[in-house]
Amino acid sequence: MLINFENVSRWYGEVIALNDISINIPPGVTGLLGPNGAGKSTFLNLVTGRLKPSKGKVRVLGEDPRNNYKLTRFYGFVPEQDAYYEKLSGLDFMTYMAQLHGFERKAAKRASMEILERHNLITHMNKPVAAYSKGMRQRIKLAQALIHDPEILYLDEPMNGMDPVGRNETIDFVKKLSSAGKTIIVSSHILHEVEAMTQQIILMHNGKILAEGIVQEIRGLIDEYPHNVIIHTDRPREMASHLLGYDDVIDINIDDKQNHLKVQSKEPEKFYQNLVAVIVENGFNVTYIDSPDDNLQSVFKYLVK
Amino acid sequence: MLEAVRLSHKKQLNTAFIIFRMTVNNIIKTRRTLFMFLISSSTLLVALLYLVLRESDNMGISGYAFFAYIMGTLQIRGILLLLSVFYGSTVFSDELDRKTLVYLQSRPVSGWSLLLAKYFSAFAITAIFLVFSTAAPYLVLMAADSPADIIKNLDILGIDLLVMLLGAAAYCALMLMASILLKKPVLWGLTFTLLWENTVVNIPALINKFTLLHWLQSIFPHPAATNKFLSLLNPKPSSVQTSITMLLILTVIFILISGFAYRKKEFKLN
Repeated sequence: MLINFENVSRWYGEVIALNDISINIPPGVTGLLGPNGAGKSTFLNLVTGRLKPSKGKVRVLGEDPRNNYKLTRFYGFVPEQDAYYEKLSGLDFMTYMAQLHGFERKAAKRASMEILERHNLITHMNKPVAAYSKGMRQRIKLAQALIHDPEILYLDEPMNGMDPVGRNETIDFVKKLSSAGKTIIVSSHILHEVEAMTQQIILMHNGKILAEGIVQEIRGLIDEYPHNVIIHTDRPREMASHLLGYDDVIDINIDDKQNHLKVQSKEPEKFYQNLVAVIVENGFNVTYIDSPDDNLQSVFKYLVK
Repeated sequence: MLEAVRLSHKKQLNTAFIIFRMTVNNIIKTRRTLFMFLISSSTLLVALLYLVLRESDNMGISGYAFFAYIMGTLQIRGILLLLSVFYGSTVFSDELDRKTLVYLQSRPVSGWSLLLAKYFSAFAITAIFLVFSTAAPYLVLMAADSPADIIKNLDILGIDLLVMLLGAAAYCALMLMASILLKKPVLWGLTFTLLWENTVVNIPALINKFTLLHWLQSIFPHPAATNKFLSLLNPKPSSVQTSITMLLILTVIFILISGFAYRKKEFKLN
């Protein structure tokens, strides 16, 4: 087993973030699924050694990850936060990250350009990261984690704020990495995103693991609850009129003041495919897409009962 | 698999140097650096103002004396403290505020390499500004007396620069420690340096030795400015040798505490 948790608990003051978790994570792609506050980020902070468990043992490749900077050679980490060295150019940022992994300066620059090319960032590589769009920022965050070709990749909510095209690209990319033999742990609060990447799922709720590897079972449950998607666009009413023509769309709420619409769909995968078509065909300017975890919360309430 | 990975001291030095370059590259592009440049230019501006007034008002104070006045007021009790507080504390706390520390923590970089790189980045930038804010008024004011004075008083400039560099080393280390141990290190640092240091340094007996400013002023070749009431207390300076040793020891202690605190502390970003 690559990652092993043995009776691990972690609390912040009186708040329990993880509650007596024991789990072995095998190679392959594992989805860490749970609503916000379930303990997913704490889980990832523990395996990357940035936090230590209040109780129990965490082992990665047989080693304690806490203050174990040698382990960092074997993993790449994509944090949830939209955090960057804003003043540095994309190329400089990547080159520094590569150099910290032991690349010589020229090799670091070459490797950085290759990976920026792979993530469609090469034409923007000399711009400061501050000038990047939301999607570009997400892509460079992913790119920095892969610069040293790690064995393990931790992705903390990697598709937050990505447009449908970016989401699909990321999903395809994770699948490619998986078929190349990488181990990937991806956290998300959106079932269908995780499901598109793996069948191996760990369900988390209130710091506990509710279930492992039962994606088909909860698939049925999740379909009973509509999936919410919030879209920020320049013409929300016009977009709503296009989306209402699809069978899977149950309800749409428009907020003209904030230029966004909230869509409820009973078939999220189908919805995202249709959404891409609507955006491309009608030239909508979409600045942000998010899926709040209302529906997942409902499923968890059901499971906890 | 892990046994194969041994990070040599040379590699750790190399990674520290990369973080140093990255930090300096990032810092020089910030607005804060422009602001700090303006602050450090104030000694030169005051020197130029002196030249203008000397021409028109026939002032009775020599360029050398005015240089000593600038060093004893603006430089040692103002610019040195401000630059060290800002760069010493923000060089690390910026990583926390921006939430970028995670990128460094997920690389094969030891805590010591990271901290030393951060410390030397803060020190280097502070030192560059201090050298400028010391040497520029020196050249202007000595040349105003006689160009030959520039060479004649080089020893004074050398001691001034030594004091500034020792001060930057000690204050940056202190502020780095503060940024790891405390929240709002800039506020804490300004309060500490401007209130505690500037006041307690004037109290005689052992108490003034609890300031870095005491050790710096003991090496300082100019009379330090103080208010009339506090000067009545007449604090005694320590010997130059003791002062330099103390400043170096304190610098090392602050860095060591920073390193141990960094290893112990958890930096949770969300």
